[in-house]
Parts: sequence; C-alpha cells; structure tokens
Amino acid sequence: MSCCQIGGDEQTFLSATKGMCRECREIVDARYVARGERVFLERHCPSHGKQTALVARRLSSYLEMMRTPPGGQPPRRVLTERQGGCPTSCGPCSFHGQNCHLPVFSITNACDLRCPICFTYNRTDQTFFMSEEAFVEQIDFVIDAAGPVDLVNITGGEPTLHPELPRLLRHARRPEIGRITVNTNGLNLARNPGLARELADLGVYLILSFDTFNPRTSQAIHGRDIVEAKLSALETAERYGIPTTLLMVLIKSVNEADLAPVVELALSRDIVRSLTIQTMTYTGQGGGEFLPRAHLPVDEVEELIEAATSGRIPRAAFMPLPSAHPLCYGVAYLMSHGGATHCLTELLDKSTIGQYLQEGYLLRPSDELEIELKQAIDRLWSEGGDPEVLSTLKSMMTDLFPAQPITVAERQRRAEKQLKTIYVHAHMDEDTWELGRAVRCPDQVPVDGKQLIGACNYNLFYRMRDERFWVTR
Amino acid sequence: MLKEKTVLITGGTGAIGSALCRIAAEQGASVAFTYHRNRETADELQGELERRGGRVIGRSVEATDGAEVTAFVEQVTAELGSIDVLVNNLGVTQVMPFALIEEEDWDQLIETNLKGLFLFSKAVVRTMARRKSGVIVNIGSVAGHRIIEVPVHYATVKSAVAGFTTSLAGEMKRYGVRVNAVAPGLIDGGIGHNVSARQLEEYNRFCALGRPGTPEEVAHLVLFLASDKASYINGQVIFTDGGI
Repeated sequence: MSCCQIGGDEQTFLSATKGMCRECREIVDARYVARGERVFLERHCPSHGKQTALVARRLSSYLEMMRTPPGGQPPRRVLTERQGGCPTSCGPCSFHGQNCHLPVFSITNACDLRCPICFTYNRTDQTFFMSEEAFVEQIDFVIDAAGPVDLVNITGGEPTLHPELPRLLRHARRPEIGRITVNTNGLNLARNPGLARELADLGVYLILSFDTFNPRTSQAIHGRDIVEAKLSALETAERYGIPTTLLMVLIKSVNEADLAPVVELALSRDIVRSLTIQTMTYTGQGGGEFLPRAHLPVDEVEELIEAATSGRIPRAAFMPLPSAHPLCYGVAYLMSHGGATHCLTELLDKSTIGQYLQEGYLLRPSDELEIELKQAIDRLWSEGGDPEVLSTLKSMMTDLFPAQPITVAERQRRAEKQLKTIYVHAHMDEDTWELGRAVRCPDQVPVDGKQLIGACNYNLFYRMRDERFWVTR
Repeated sequence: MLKEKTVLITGGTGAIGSALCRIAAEQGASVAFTYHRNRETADELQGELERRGGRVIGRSVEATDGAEVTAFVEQVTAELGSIDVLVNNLGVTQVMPFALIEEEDWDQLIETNLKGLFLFSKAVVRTMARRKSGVIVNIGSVAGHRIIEVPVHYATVKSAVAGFTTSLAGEMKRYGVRVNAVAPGLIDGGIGHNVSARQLEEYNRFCALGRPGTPEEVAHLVLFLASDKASYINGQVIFTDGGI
C-alpha cells in the first residue's frame, strides 16, 4: 500500500462509504483514510466541509480486523420496505446485513441520575413505564422476527425503577431466550435488597455500570459521587448470587487511570462474569456536549488494557466479534481460576474461536468445542506449552468434574465463572456513524412491535422522535 | 436369594452401591456398607433399610488404611455375623485428559481404587478361607475392556479388576470361595453424571440396547452371582453393558 497526496494531505485511501455530518446530520460521502499509523473516518459534507474522527489507533490493527471473516446471518425477516437508503427505513430493510442477536428493550425513561456522559435521550418532564402488555407484545414480536436469541437486554433510563420490573422479567423467561440481562446504575439495587433477591430468583444477569473508583471523576461523569453506591451494588449482587457484567464507559483523559483497577475488579470477583468496556459516545442528552471530545477506537482500548494489565491480557488476545462490524466489537476470553488468568487464544486460534461465535456473543459449550479444547490441550502438552496454562486448565477441569457429582446446571455455573469475557464496544455517534457498521449491527431495538432498529441507528436517528423518550425543545 | 447372609458392600452411597444395599436387604441379607464422605446419604440409606426391618451397619472407612478396613470387618463380623458376601464396589474417578494426568493423580487413583480392593478382599477372604465358604464380586467396568472415552487411569484400574478377579479365584479355589467380577457399561447416575450429551449419544449408538443401564440392573446381576444359584460361576468377568 503506498501513500499518496489526497486532497492536499499525505494519506492512504482505504475505502469509500457513507458517513454523517455532525453539523447538519445529513448522510454524506465518506471514506476511511490512513494518516501515518492512524485510521480516520473522513466525511465530506457539501455544506459543512470535511470532518474527521479517529476509528483505529493503528493501520496494522485496522487491516487485521477487517480481514476477520464476517459471521452471523442476514435478518430472518425483512420488516420494512427499503426507501431512501440507510438509515431512513430501518426495520430491518432488505439492505441490513445481520439478524438480531441482542434485542434491547427500553422499558422506561426514568432515571435517578443525570450523567453528563449519557449518550441516549430520556425526557425528564414525563415518565414512561412500558406496560406489561406492551412488553409481552414486544417480546413476542422479537421472537417472531428474529427467532431464538441467546441474550436480551432490559434497559432504560434506569430499568430497576420500573415498578413492575419482576413481572416484566417473568414474561421474558421463555425457552427462546437464553439469558436476560438488566442494565443498572446500581443505586436502586444498593438500597433495595428485596429487589436484588427477586432478580436473583428470576435468574437474570446484571449489567452494572462501573466507570471509576475516583469520587472526583465520578462527579464529572455521573454528576455526583456514586462510587460507594456502585461498590455496594456489586456487594449486593454478590450476596444474592446475581451474575454480573461490569460496564465501564472509558473516556480519554478522564478515567483511563481507572481501567487497571476496574479490570482487576472484574477478574478478582467470582460474581463478575464479564467486563464490557464501552468507549465514550459523544451524542445524546449528555454525551453530545461532553468535553474533552476524543474518540477511543476499539484497538486503542485493547492496547490500553494490555498496558493496564502489564501484558497479562495482551491486545493479541482480542478479536473482532464475527457477528458485528470489527470497529464495533472486540472480544477476549479469559480462563480464570485460582488467581491465574490465561487468554483463550493461548489455547485456540482466533479463527477457531470465531467459528463458535458466529451467532452471537456467548461462547456456548458444545460437543465440537469440547473436542477442540481437548485437541488444544494435547497440542499444548505435546509441543511443550506453558506449564502454567496446563496447570490452570487442570484446576478448571477438577472444579468442573469434582469427585462428588454435581448437576449440569452447577457445572455450567462453574464454567461461566472460569471463562470470563472482556468486550470492547464502540457505539457510533455523529462523528463515527458509518454505513458499513450500521448495516452489520446485531444489537437491535424493537419499536412498537413493528420494527427492529440497529441500536446506534435507533439512538442517533429514531429515539429523539419518540415522544415517550424525548421532545424537541 | 440372600436370606440370613451377611453382605459387605464397599462404596454403598453411590448409585450402584445404594441399589446393591437396597436389593440385598430386600433379599433378606444383613447389610454392611462403607462410604467415604457422604454421611448424609449414608444416614438416610441406613435409616431407610432399618425402617424396613433390616440389620444394617454403615460406616465411613478410609479404604487405603489397612487397620481401619480390618477394624470394620471385625465390627461387621461381631455385630452381623461372618461375612458371606463381599462386593468390592468402591471406586473413584477423575475426569482428566491424559495430557493433564500427573504422577500424583495416577498414584492417588490407583491407590484408592486398587488398594481398597486389595485390603477389603484380604481382610474378608481370611475369614472365608477359615470357613471354606464365601463369595466375592468385584465391580469393574466395560471401560477396562473396550475403547470408551474415559480417563486412562480409571480404565487401567478397571482393567486391573479383571486380573485381580481371575487370580484370586484361582488361589481361593481350594477353599470353595468364588470370585467373580461384573463390568457394567454406562449406568444412569454412576460415573455417568460426568458424561456429556455427545458421549451419551455415542454410547447409545454402539450399544445394542441403545440406552444406558440402571443401577438396579447391575445390582441384580451382582447379587445373583453372590447367591447360591450362581454356584458354578467362578473366575469370570461378566459384562452388563447392553451389548457393546
């Protein structure tokens, strides 16, 4: 690949696409270009000129990510006629490239925080709680449109403020749904152990936002210091045995120093099954105005994790999630037992792992995966692999198959504890929205029992038109 | 079939062990059984058998400790009478691929399974030789004789049960003590709790009856061999595996 002069700058042209003008929000011509090591999305608005946003820290990692074979399947059902081009006829239309793997249900606009980093839209003058009937209708619609799903996500606002949350969740407990996840800021959970008990009984998984240990940083990004409340919520989850994902919004020059302790928290607590690092998205009622404005691409976050863990979790452990666009999701699986942590990539190559991730986010146990793992153990052993990895694997096996019989469910619970996951997830905002990413989005929001809209398209183009969530002032 | 006999069953709280205890008691035997850690199950089993009017002793015995084994055999003899039947059923396994089996795993599994077999047999055979009567039935496994996906050290132990059985039968012939072994296939609730859906499907595919066995099916065969009805069966390894 050679550098050339394009538009007066020395840069390498990579590909052409469509992007979004930050000023007029029109869909405009765009291209990916490399300048030196960095990769940018460059939009050309006829009215507002050229705008750029960083999308990859390194050209080499960008090219490597783009080589990942895409996975998943196209939408099971096309729900809207294609008119006007993406993103104007979401639903999905026939142009969309990915079935829904993670339906996201916004059941309320109520929230007990006003976070300056909030990237969505929630009106505060009028509270919306989704009715039980509407929720059932939405669930039925999603299953009918997308088929069985591994995961559903219940969000808001703050979904634990919904007065009928347990009743709603009971409707989501059905064979077509593998796992129910509930987003929370943790405040209500910390002060309401009764709710925690109910959530535990319902078998839900929590997604607890956890951005910082620093009170001043918390003030800056949450509007007040809620560090203790978050820790208390995690303890509550631990007390009631609610499997938890920690969700950290990582913001350049704001909470990068928290990355190391948050990763450590995720690895050291048994109740934490996974960690999602979500990069700051500069849109919505808070995020749109948040400063400093500096996009963190997925590969840069992966490098930061490597640095924060002193190489224990190297960038090489991450791979794009096959069912999403490589600039949207990176994932690393970690074998964690007895204080030792090893990356699954030490055992299986990425293409093999990718084969088992075609349809979603979870590395599900299967006979084929079991055989792959056995072969990998033999390979590692016969080729003189790291004895520490073998020792960790042995500890895991001993825990999974103890002398006294355990139930299948208990074995699955133990396996989940041992295989932790780190997701790096970059949502799109006005600067980074790009056609190729939008059409591969597997996270979809059901709307009115008629449409399934990719999450970033929904947040950037549709939610503010829904009077339940927003009114234009 | 076992009326007024005293039967000692090692490993009495597992799936096959508890079926052996129940059916032996139903057939009129006084039952002594050992267990390792599972006291709650042992107490429940003993209570159940006693409520049905049986004479029962259940005790936690360290099978690799000769003194403990001898003391238990003496206790059973003193409280229930001379031991007519010994069923060497205790066994442990460790689910581990060959690559991850270390020397200490090997030693521990061999010791627990084979030393227990040896110590109980030695302690009981002594009294049987004196009385010139008695039956020993050892529980092996089809895994010791066929290509089945089981841990290598476990298969080794189960294969060794066959050699132990035929050799001891040869030595004890002069005392009229019969020694046989039963080699079950995949059994519900036994080590089968570690079997994946794929392994179960594979077993069923190669099994003429197309299913795993039950602990009761194994127990009935074992107790038949223990009875006088099997008086001409000696030094045999009899498979109960549905036809592999």
